[in-house]
Amino acid sequence: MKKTIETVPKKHRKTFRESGAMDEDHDIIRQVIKGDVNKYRILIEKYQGAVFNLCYQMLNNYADAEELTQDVFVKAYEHLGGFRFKYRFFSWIYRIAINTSLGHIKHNQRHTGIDDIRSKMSDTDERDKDISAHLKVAIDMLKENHKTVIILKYYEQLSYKEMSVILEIPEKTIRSRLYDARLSMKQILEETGYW
Amino acid sequence: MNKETRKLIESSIDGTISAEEEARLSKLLAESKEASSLHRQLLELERHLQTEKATEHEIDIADKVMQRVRAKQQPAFSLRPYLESISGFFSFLPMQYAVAVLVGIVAGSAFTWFLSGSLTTPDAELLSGSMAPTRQEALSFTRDNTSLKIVPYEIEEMVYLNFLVNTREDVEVSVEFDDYEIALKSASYVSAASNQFTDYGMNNISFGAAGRTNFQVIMEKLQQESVILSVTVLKDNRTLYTQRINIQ
Repeated sequence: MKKTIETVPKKHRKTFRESGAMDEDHDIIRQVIKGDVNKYRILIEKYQGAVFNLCYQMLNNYADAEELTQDVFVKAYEHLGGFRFKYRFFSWIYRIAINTSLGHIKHNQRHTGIDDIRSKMSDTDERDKDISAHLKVAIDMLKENHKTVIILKYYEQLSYKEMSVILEIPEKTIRSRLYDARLSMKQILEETGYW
Repeated sequence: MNKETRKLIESSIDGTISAEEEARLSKLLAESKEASSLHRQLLELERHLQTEKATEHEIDIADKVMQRVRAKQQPAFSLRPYLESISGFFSFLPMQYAVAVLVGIVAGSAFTWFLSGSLTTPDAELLSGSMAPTRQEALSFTRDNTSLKIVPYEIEEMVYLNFLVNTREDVEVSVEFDDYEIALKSASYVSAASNQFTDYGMNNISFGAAGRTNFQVIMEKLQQESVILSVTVLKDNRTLYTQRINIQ
């Protein structure tokens, strides 16, 4: 009888690598829930950079972003008991970070000026600085759900699927929202005289 | 601009346009200055956005977070010291009987509270706290062998709309909303006989129904003020019914 050996298709190998990292996080979460609080530090150290960078993109302010990042991890700890293990911890904490950032923006409505943004940029070509600053101001003026998808797509480099998981909305809605966000940005750039 | 042109421009910007769609788009852009200008501007915007990079920052907040997390931990609560202090009072009784009496008193009090609550308290107050749902009146209509009932529930900013359709025909139910005011979170069939499809458009969601259909839409209010949704039932592209719903 001929023996057939099944090899794991390439796409599934990638899934195994991802699921390995996911299992590590899930193991840590289970230990923290059981009472080993010190293990939570591992998750903080692993994801604090990514969470902070997201908060910074949303708020354009280092101090606020740092404080908010702490709030995000504390909130995540408080709700760890309700964590659903079918999700990645990263997607879940990203969602908390987005919601916390949007809540902060709502309560502290202020828009960052273009000079303020330019002053924070490292030494780059002046024209590139100018374009980037205008884009950031336009993004800052977008309504919340448009701002979120623009930041997740272009600054966090997430795929539509990842965005769909994090925001818990269908991919089709993500695409539609991105299109509307681009239209709004175009309008803002025209109104501010850049285009 | 019509839906088709928008969809083609969207796919072109996304980079997901097929060769056939690209040919159709080129034709549409040649016929419309407005569409052509919009497409050019959006492509330029996309080019700029693609070159944007997130500024990476180093940060270490682990110590501060762990400090806050440990402050939230309460010492483990033990009944032992309390039981020992009252055991002298009940010294003529073994400890286990004293505990049984205590549990009986607590259970009886809870039952009495619940019973009095269920007789005098409206449904919403029994579920105490901020999670109490607000149940509004169900909306219903019937026309041309099609009946639609909409049961809305709100819990804080979340709005749950349950659509119960009973029809002999194939109909389409469309919900329009302003996504400045309310965001679509999910939409799915709970049960359906046939004619299942879900279409997501700009500021609207529509689904198909035939026979008995139960469809749930979950939305999140983005503002404190009331929000208006528009529900339309269509058969063969003909409007059977349209109703505006005010979500408080």
